[in-house]
Amino acid sequence: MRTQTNRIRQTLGWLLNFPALLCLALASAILISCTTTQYAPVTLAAPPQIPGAKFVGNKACAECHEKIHGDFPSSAHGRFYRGDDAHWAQVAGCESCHGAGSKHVETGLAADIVNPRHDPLACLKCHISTHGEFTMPHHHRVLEGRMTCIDCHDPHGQKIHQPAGGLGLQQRDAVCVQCHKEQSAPHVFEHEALREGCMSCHKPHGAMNRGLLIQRDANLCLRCHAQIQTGGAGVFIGKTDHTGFLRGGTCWSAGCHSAVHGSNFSPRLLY
Amino acid sequence: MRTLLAILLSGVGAGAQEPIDISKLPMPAERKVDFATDILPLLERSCLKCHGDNRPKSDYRMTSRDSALKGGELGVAILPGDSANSSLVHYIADLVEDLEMPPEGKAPTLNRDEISLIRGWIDQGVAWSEPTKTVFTAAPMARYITISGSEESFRQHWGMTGGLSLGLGQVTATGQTKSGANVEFDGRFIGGDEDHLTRLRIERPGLDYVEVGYESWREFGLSSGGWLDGMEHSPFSLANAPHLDHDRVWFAAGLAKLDAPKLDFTFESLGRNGRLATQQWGGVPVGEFETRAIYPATKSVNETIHRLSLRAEHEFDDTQIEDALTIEFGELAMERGHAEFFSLPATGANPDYLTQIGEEREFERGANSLRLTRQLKDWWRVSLGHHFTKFDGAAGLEVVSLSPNDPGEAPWMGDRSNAIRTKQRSHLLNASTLMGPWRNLTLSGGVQGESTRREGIATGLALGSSPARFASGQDRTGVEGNMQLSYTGLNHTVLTLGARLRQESIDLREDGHIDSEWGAEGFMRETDEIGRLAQYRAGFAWSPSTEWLVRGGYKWRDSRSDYEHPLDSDLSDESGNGYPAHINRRRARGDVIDLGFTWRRFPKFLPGFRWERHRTDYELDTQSFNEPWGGPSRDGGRHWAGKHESDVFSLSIVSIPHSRLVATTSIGYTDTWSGTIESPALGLQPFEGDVWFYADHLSYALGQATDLTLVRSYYRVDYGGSNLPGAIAYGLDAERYGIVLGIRHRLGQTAMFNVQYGWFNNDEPSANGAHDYNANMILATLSIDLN
Repeated sequence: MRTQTNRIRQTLGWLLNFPALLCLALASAILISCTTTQYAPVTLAAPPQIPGAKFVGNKACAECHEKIHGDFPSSAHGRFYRGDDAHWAQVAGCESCHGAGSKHVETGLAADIVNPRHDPLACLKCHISTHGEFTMPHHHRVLEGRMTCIDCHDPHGQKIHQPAGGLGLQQRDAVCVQCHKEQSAPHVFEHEALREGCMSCHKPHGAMNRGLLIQRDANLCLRCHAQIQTGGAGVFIGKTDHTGFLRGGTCWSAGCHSAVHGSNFSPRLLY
Repeated sequence: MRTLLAILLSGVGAGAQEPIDISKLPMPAERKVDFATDILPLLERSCLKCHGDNRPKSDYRMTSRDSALKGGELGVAILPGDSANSSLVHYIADLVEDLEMPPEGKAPTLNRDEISLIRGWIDQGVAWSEPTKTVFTAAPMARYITISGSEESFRQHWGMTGGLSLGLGQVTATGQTKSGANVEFDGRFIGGDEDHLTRLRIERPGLDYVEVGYESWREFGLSSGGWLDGMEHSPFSLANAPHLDHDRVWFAAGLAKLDAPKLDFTFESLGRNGRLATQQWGGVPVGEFETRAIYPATKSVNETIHRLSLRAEHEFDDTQIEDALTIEFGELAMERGHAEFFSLPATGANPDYLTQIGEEREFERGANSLRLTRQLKDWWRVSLGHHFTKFDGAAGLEVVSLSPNDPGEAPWMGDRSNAIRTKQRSHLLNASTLMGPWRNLTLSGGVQGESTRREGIATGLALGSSPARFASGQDRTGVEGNMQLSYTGLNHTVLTLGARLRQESIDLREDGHIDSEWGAEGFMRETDEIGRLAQYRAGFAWSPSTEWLVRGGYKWRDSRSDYEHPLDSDLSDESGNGYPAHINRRRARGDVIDLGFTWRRFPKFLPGFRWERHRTDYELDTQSFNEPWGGPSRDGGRHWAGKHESDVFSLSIVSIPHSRLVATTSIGYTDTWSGTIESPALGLQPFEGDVWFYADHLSYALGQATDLTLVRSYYRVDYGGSNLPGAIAYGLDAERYGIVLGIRHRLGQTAMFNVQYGWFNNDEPSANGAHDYNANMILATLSIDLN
């Protein structure tokens, strides 16, 4: 168990670390500034900022992106949609995610607009807690560039398969099944939780637990599987006395119900 | 002239039928007109914005000589050698009403001198000598990482391997063939991480494309198992670093003509091969009659999937039709190893027993989605869809236990299948609509029906010798509706209401029969389930000015399943052991409160804040039952099963304190309480703790050619209090830092040199230091950009 001293030491280390790095950065800045006379502030921006561009409103976007504009009000993001007036472009329009569009409208170039497919930070500036989940020890590799937000989510509500809302067809966990085929295949004996959806047990973006599990102990299972406590130290789960089992490990890690996604030969999902 | 008349009569109405007075045209330039210096700049300035490759207006592209001469929806626009009768010249000279080019406000118009140049160019034969643009970029990189401590935790956290890695971070080559086709090649190769990508794409804009590619990457896993809080020695670990290699080969082709169906075809071959640690941990004795499952286990995987996808999209008479077909064929072989010990082992010791579970699967999976969407009115869009999925699978399974310390001992045979077959069919029908805005109201919603049938059968030998047969079937039908209504009639405000309702009926049948030497065993079960979900949402977004957005929402959710068990027979003395045969009802109810704001008052300080509160209560209703072997009767009824509560606070700030400095910062805090049974004797207590995270990115421009970057990432997880003495340490107490300081310097116009230093640290007391590491990284990248 962490001691209080250890925690204070780590916190102090962190606080001291920043000034030290800041000093290093400033020293480098001064040294290099002495050798250069010009700088280019327009090259610096945080997505979805686009240096030099102005907001033009949704109507200008709809001239070319007509289909997206038509479907958008029915999407999950459509809750913020409040018409096409350029007045709202910065906070509730296409450009609130894609950046100011005047340069893109002029040139038509992809380089002049922000595409969140290439930079998840454009999404994470609002979905901040999701950013935190992607920094957890076990996570889908979005920040590393291995995946993009668009691989699982449709921000405009126009995909033929739409996870939630929108005009598309919906099938539970369709986006998870694309990659996790082993876990989603039908079995002779099914784990009922799969009908509720993958997120009954998993956090899709990232978690501190292996397998992106919501929890790492038997509490995860006992939410749904009836536990009948008998006196002080006994417990029945599914009419079977599990008193001696729970202390040995979790339902899935103790070598018992290891076929958590379903089994082809064991009615009790043993393997 | 006939061509000109045809053009004008075909498309533009009365105004177009008026004769063209070509005397108003400026005279063609008499000098030699050069395409690259005289014409191309005019096209780029005034034409290509609308008549480029991407969604060209009137289907007319001016990106190559062929496409410019071919014309568009209004017919041929350029007649080489005859500028006076070329409709393009009439349009740019504003001689055709409603077809003045470029339209007002879209791009700068052409003056008479420029029109004269265009006429000269056409009269001189429409030379198109645009030099082929070829762009080549490459980013060779060298990275060296030293790690003291757990290398596998570092790999898991940061996705990088220790030691020296050489590679090409990014290689891109793009160009254009003489026929106007765009050629793109890109690749990536990072040694050590085993990260490779090669892709080639040839595209004729507005016509078709072909793409081939190969990529592979390595997924690194942990080799450790569980541990006990206070354990004095290091947790056990597997001998070799487990990893799984993924690869993908693909071929794609498609048609993208505007007046023809848009078609995309893809063939992919996907592979997974390797070994990872799983969480079916092996038992280790910790007392006379006590074991704890903490010894790491492995699973080897060898999987190949071939996937064919065809997607078609077209618009007939304002009705858009989309169809997506996917067919997959797959083979999967797995073997799981599960160790057991009679005494506390030394690290690396052979287990006393090793159980191996081998599984093979083959499957065919198909899915087709068809959707029709039509805009009935300006304010009314409707969509109908059908989705069908099909799965047929065959599998085999064998369980064997060995004694690695006694090779002479015969293996103990567990269950072994002869044949396993699974089958599933599913249909979805969907109708949805989008209406509005009408009097500031916008309504979207849909209804979806689903019918799924699943069947499975398995035959084999239970415990290696007793003939066994299992079968199951499930019929599921359900209806789901969702609705979203938004109202923008109040000043500065959007109000939203939403609802999602689902009801499904599930008929589940399972039976099994085993002829063991002690007699027949078996069961027959039937469970009828009615599942209901009700979810309601209300929210607002308030923007008193363009500088503010305040938003909030409340979501309430009630998911409930009611069970009836018309059949639950058992050939053993203790009937009624079927699961969940003693559960009458499950219910999960909860809500989410969500509040946030975004502030855009100052362009150089852009904060956003969000708070979410999640709460869910879990309830169960069970039947009474008798404990086995004459034990007491246990009452059933409704009882609390568990609870989950969490508060999530997050803050994001983009700040530009100086014109040379841009900083983005994200901070988050989550406080969670989640529990069911609270019993130290059972080794269980609520999972309670908090998580802090911090991430920022600072860029500072030192000069026109140089900038500094600082990227930091930090989290602290404090669930250590969830550990109980003598029990498996489920709680986690960890703190992790990552700091990367970099400097980028542009070398002329063609190269950028980037050097980064990174420091990474993980401190995890709850794992007794087994996951701790301290790592340093030096990364150098040279980005070369040749045009």
